[in-house]
Amino acid sequence: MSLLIVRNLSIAAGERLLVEEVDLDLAEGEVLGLVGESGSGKSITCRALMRLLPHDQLHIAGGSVTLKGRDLARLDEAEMRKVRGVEIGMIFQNPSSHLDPVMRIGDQIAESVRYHEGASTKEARGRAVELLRQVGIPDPVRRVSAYPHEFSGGMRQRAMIAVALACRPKLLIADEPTTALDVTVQAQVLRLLLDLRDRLGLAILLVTHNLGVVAQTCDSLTVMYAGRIMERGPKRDLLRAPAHPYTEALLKCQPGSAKPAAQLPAIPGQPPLAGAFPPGCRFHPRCPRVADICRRERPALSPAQGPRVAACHFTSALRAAS
Amino acid sequence: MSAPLPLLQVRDLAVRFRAGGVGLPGFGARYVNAVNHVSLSIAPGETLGVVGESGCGKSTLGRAILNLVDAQGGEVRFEGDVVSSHDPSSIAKLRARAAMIFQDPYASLNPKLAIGEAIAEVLRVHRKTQPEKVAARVAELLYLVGLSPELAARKPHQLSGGQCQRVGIARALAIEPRLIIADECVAALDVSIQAQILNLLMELQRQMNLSLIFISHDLGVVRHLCRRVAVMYLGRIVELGPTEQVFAAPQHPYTRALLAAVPDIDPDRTLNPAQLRGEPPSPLDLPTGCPFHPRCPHAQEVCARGEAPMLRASGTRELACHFDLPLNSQQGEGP
Ligand SMILES: Nc1ncnc2c1ncn2[C@@H]1O[C@H](COP(=O)(O)OP(=O)(O)OP(=O)(O)O)[C@@H](O)[C@H]1O
Ligand SMILES: Nc1ncnc2c1ncn2[C@@H]1O[C@H](COP(=O)(O)OP(=O)(O)OP(=O)(O)O)[C@@H](O)[C@H]1O
Ligand SMILES: [Mg+2]
Ligand SMILES: [Mg+2]
Repeated sequence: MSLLIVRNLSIAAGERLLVEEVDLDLAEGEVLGLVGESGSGKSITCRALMRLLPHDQLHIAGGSVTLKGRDLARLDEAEMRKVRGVEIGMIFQNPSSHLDPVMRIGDQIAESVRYHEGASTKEARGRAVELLRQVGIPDPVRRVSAYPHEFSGGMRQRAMIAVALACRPKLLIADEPTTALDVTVQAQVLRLLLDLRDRLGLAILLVTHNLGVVAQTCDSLTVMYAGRIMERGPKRDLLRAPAHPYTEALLKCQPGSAKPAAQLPAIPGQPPLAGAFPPGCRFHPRCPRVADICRRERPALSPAQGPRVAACHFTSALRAAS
Repeated sequence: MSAPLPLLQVRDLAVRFRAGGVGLPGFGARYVNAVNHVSLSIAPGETLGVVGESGCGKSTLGRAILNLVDAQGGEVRFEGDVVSSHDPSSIAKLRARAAMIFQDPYASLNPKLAIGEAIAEVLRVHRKTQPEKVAARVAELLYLVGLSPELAARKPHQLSGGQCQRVGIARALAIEPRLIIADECVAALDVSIQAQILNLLMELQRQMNLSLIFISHDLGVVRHLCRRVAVMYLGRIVELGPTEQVFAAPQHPYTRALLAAVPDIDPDRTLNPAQLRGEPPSPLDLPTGCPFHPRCPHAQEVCARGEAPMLRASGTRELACHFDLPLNSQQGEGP
């Protein structure tokens, strides 16, 4: 059974729709990757799930978020606070805005353990040290009393991960959780998350730009462009044989395929400004396969191959070509 | 013909921080040794990659070079002149010609200031543009980093992570620097926009002979962009040399562990097993001997004794290891 079901989620800034008709399904123990161009709406989608949009600027314009059968929109703020942290842990993309600068790292982790589990001060501190050790902070017994500014960028990111995991959530929303980590520490953190999935059935929504991380950790993958889902399906299918031209173009931009110091391949053109999207398919101004219909009609997400769906008028043609 | 004068020379730089909160009153203060005896130099137009473990001192090194934190030892020379905190004019000159792109884009921007204003501020302070042309130049800089000029009125928290990061890049470009210290400057960008930004930096390099210190965890990007690379571990450079050679045949055991952990985009490969055993050592209590010895699969008795091994020449590169390990000896086969 699905742990999290998101249907038709739309997010707006005033009149401008930034995210439209997003569906997400996450089962217990599943890792779902969410990728897409910078500014396509991944982070605000994550925040909307937690009901943490800055409400003076952004609001949910439609759709539903259901966690374990409960419609989160119907909870009052006190109930929602319990959901955050006890049931859903969130790793924010910019840790320094979400760690309290005047509170010791260890206290921030321990606070959430105490608040949600009623642990004693000593127990909570012990757990803070253990969590810091698990995310690879050197000398955690002493570093637990440091302040955020005394940590490096990657150490703050790991402190954020420790805070999110502190109360043993069932669902982890991880927004770019390893961007500030070197590859050995990144692997250690990802192993920790996958171990929690294996042992406790933790479900993870993993937002990342790193397709290597996607390849090695996710079960399924959702690709966003300009506020909409372009393609969704099992990770292997998407990485091996993308059904949408945007996914295909993204895979071609990996450095490493180009000669050192040569121009790196990029998708020509610029992504549209959020809320001022082109008519028809939003990717059409940059799409190498654009045809007339793409400028006129928006392609619906439709079955492309097995369990996969893609929003492209030419999905089947693409498949035939590859 | 003599080699060109290096644009930047760093000799024996050391930075330590007083560790707050951990010392007990009456017991001497404790220190975090963030950067230990780092030396490097960069020629005009050159790109040096800096890679290493999270927390090993890369950002602190960058900040110390620009005199944004105090160094406890060593020397920085820019265009041949010593940069010293006792000589404000040397710092002013440095900061007019060298810029840093900070790792944390939100924290480096004023949250109350619209981003267009934040870029305009740099143009005005450094007198780069006539007052009436500032707005046009701001729009141009935003366009260069792939942002719509319409975003100029937004505050930082109204932008996505990658948009905010590009504001930091635009601010650095605004001073038209000779040297940019780019600290994880493409970490929040998707691969396509990342490629556009890297192409832009390479283009500026060709046009204006810009030098770059490129701090990054993305080894694929470093390999693409940087002719030379420095690998840091616990505040020290442990290996430095031509990127192609270092990446194709890493010498230092830490470099080997790092390269072996790069995640592959092949969906049929699972996460690599742990490359490093044991706990990372504490910068509060540096281990004796080689800083990597507690985790090194090749460690011998000598590695635990005395001072850390100095960088020494080994072929075309420099290496801080007592041994010249055979190239085929892999992680885990140590004594
Ligand atoms: N408070 C806000 N007011 C208006 N627009 C906003 C606000 N916050 C975000 N946006 C816009 O919404 C869009 C989606 O932002 P979001 O942060 O979700 O992007 P993202 O996919 O996470 O990108 P990145 O990969 O760069 O982090 C962006 O174009 C951004 O400029
Ligand atoms: N202001 C400070 N006070 C105390 N310690 C600090 C301070 N700034 C940095 N440190 C410590 O110095 C060490 C090096 O930090 P630095 O930010 O340079 O690492 P880094 O290599 O940039 O890491 P990352 O890859 O995670 O960004 C870390 O142990 C960090 O905790
Ligand atoms: Mg984001
Ligand atoms: Mg750093």
